[in-house]
Amino acid sequence: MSPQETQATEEHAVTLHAVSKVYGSKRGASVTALRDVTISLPAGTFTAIMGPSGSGKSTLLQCAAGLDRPTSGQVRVAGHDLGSLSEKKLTILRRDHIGFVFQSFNLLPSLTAELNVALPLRLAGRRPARGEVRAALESVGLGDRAKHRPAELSGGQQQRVAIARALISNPQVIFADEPTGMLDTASGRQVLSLLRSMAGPRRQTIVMVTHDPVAASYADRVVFLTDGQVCGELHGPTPQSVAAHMTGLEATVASQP
Amino acid sequence: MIALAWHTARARAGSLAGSFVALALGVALLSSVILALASTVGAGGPPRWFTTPGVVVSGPDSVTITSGAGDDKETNTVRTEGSRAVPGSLVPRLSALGADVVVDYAAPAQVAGAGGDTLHPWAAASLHRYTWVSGAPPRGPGQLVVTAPTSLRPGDQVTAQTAAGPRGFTVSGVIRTTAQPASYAAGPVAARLAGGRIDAIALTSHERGDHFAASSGALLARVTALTRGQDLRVLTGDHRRDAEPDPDADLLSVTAALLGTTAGLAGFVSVFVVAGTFAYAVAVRRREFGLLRAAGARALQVRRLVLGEALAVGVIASLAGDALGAIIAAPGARWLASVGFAPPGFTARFTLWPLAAAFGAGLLIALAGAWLASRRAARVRPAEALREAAVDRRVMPVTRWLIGLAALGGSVPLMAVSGHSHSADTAALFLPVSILLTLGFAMLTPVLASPLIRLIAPALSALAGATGMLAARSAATGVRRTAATVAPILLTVGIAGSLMAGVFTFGQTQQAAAASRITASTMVAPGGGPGLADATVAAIGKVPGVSAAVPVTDTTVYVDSGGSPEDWAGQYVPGPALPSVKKLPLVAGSLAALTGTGTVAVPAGSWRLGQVIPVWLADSAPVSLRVVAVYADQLDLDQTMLLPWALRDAHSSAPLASAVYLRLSPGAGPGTGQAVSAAAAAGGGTVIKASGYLSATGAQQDRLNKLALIAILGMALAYTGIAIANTLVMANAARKQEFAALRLSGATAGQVLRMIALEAALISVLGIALAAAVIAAVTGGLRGALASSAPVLHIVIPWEPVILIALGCLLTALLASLAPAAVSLRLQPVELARAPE
Ligand SMILES: Nc1ncnc2c1ncn2[C@@H]1O[C@H](COP(=O)(O)OP(=O)(O)OP(=O)(O)O)[C@@H](O)[C@H]1O
Ligand SMILES: [Mg+2]
Repeated sequence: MSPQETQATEEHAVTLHAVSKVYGSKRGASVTALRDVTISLPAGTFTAIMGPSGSGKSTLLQCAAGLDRPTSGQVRVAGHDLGSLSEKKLTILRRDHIGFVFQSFNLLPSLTAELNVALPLRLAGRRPARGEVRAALESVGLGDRAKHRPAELSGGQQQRVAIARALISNPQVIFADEPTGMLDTASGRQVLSLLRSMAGPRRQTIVMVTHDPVAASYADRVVFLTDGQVCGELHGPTPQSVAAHMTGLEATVASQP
Repeated sequence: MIALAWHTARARAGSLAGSFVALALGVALLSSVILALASTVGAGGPPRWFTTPGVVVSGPDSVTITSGAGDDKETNTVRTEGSRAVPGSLVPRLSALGADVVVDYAAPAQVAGAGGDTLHPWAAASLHRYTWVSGAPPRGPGQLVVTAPTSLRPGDQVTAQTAAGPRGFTVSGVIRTTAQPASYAAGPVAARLAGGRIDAIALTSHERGDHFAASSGALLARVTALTRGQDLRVLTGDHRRDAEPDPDADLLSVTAALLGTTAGLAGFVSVFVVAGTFAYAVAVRRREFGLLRAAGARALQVRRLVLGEALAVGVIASLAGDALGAIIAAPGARWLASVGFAPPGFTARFTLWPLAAAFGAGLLIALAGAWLASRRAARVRPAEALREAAVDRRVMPVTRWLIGLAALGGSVPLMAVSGHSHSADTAALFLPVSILLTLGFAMLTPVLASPLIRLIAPALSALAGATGMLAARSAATGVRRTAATVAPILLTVGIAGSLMAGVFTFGQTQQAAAASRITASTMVAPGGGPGLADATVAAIGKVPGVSAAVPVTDTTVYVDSGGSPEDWAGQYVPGPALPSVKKLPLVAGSLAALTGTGTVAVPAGSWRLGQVIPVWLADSAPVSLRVVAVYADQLDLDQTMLLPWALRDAHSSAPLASAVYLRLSPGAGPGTGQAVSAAAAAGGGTVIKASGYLSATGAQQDRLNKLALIAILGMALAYTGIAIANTLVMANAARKQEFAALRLSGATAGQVLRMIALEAALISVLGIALAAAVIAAVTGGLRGALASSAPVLHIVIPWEPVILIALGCLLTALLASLAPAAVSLRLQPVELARAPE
């Protein structure tokens, strides 16, 4: 790697270089979910990823967050080459520097909302400070649901618990896979403002997948994905510009043979 | 629905494996034990001794009691230990029938270096085929023929210990035969040594060849006509074996009793494990059934799906279990023979009905377990099932409460009975108590588990941090899983521990009670032979310095117990002399009156002093005896009757003393000891200290108890051990989503494994704690039950085996939880989240 490149990646919280992901299936037909994707996300920015269903957004996020290993290519997060890390080091890196909000929430059914949120800290051997967990829950509007188990919460509430869990360790990078997919406009806006506020003043890097042009307009930049490839981006998006870009994209996809 | 069931069964091959393993091994356990048990019935086969005679006449050997009248009339019969003598008056009349007649005597005789313990007239050798190894028939009263294998040669001088004391013989020949080993002497000698007691009369038709069968039939008719109206058995065909000295018969009934107990336990553990596993397999899949319901399936359809699946798995697993059972039955039966719990050569014969029974039982239990769980699964409203995820609610249905409390309550009266029972089958006595207590605690596990976990949780969190907290939480919220995995651990440790505690406590308390009765310091015991002759007892009694030599002869008697004959222990004793060597807790009457042939001493509770009671002796002869003494119904005297010495000879085929208790006069010196030893040795006996004798019989009893427990518990524990692994593998296989969520929350694979290990340990500790409660309940119950019926109480807690078994359970639980989890944790976290449950 050349000195300039190293220099360049230092400013970037997340860098993907020529990342491909092929899902092999047992019955022979393999699916290429990502094709040779190269993308850099500067620290302290808020990026939205958009694209049609099945275009590889979730796969991109999972590879970038070190939750899955790409078939080829390189992923660097917070200055670490994920491919060179052992499974254990990778987990610890994730726990300390990366937050992830899943499309399916992945909460532990046996734990209350409070304990689910505190879990990453406790697994890291830290005892969360008294108000810390409460504050995280309150920031997503669930201060009064701390003692409830996932089965006793609505889908949107579970999603917000998952967001609070991702934020609790104050990670350098937060990946969120459709975090507002199940939320009403008001609570969706609350979550988006929260993410927005973390990117700017607190220098945290946010990557969010969404289908909603309004949600995407909260970001600094929108990256469009089709068929596993980056096919364009927008800086300083507005709901209208995003919607227009999407319509154009769908038209090109539809006109393809 | 059946087609859908078949498809889901195939798609879920992995998770159904748990149900398959539980049922297949349960059926294997059942079928192997029932096969062995079936082999104890009619194991007699053709005769060995009376092979050539067509007809054998012998005395009756059973007690029949008829009670009630009219429609309520009931007849019960039991086989007695021995048979009555054949009257000598019959010999001339049978001889007149024109057949070869052999009068067979079976005198007790122990010849050093030769097999068998009876002496027969030489003529009896013709009753079976034999070949000469060397020598010739006995010519004259001092000659003896012995059976091979033996190191004796013609011309050797031997001593036979007989009922008339030691007798010298010269070996005249050695024969080889498939009949039971025995010695043969000249006819009059055998008759005299048998005290003139005719064992059997064998008749062989003169005819040979084609006429044989016809003439045998004619002979049978004539013999039957001749003996009509007399209490005699006329035997032909395989029944001739019933007249034979059969050393295996007693042992075979021990085998049958032991296998019966084993079958009882096997039945319980298989019902428990199979029904539990099938029910749990359904409970694990409630979400899936909720989805089905949401997709439009009717409750009935869900139920049919569950039953269809259970039927598919049940049939295949039961067949596999039958195959395995048929394979392991024979080695198991041979093991019983090798440790002496079955006659040599005992094996499990292949018969169809035990396999069919085990198959049917297994299938039925599986279907019942699945049906009960399916009712619950189908009753859930779809939305509810979807929400309920992995948090269990309403895990204590009314049926669980009812069964649990009924089982615990039922054990109380059973325990009280245990203070008054026969010594022979303590394991059989305690098994129901152990089973009920274990069942009760297992049913109540869901209610008992939560407070126990809450008790342990803080310590676990403090010691192991987040992983400890996670383990405690998931055990507490997954109550159904916790109860299902705790159950086999509780079953393994609880049954084993409580049964061992019960058997050893009872045994040692009883031994201590028996020891406390004996006031004699020294005794003479037969050295390997069946007993000591009266002549020997008399010789010992005449030694200067011996003030009393009191013989006792153990026997079996039968009494009328509510219309059916019940066997009691009996002891022929010289009543007036007994108090000088044994101290009995008399409550009425006096042993001095235990004389003549019409008296008896009995334990309190059944009869009053002076009452005349009907008793059947070991040879099946009915006698009427007047109660002259009553003693306290203590543990070692329970169902034990003392009979006057004079009654013995007429009713015993081997009138020998089982032991002789000695009282030495104050002036007895070392010379007395030497003279007693010499007199005892001449009669084949050995002198021992009373305490040594008691500890030797105690040790022997403990050894037998241990072996019996191994036989009863061995396979059942192996099965429940596998069930522990099985339920844990099943339970953890359904938790991939949960493990994925943990990994995605930032847990390293190591942390997930640590949590799983802690949870397995927590569950094991729960199971062991509940098992400890079962053991405590059994010992506590025994303490109450035995307090009034034993002078000293010996509570035995078998720490060592219980701790070993508990550790084995813990290890099994850890391995079964960690091994599959370690494999699935090799997946990337997102792959794990996507993996099917
Ligand atoms: N484990 C897998 N095995 C095989 N193919 C997979 C697997 N996971 C995803 N895919 C395929 O990879 C492609 C990208 O999937 P991905 O989940 O990244 O899509 P997405 O853009 O997040 O879609 P959506 O907006 O619907 O969530 C899809 O075609 C999907 O079918
Ligand atoms: Mg997606």
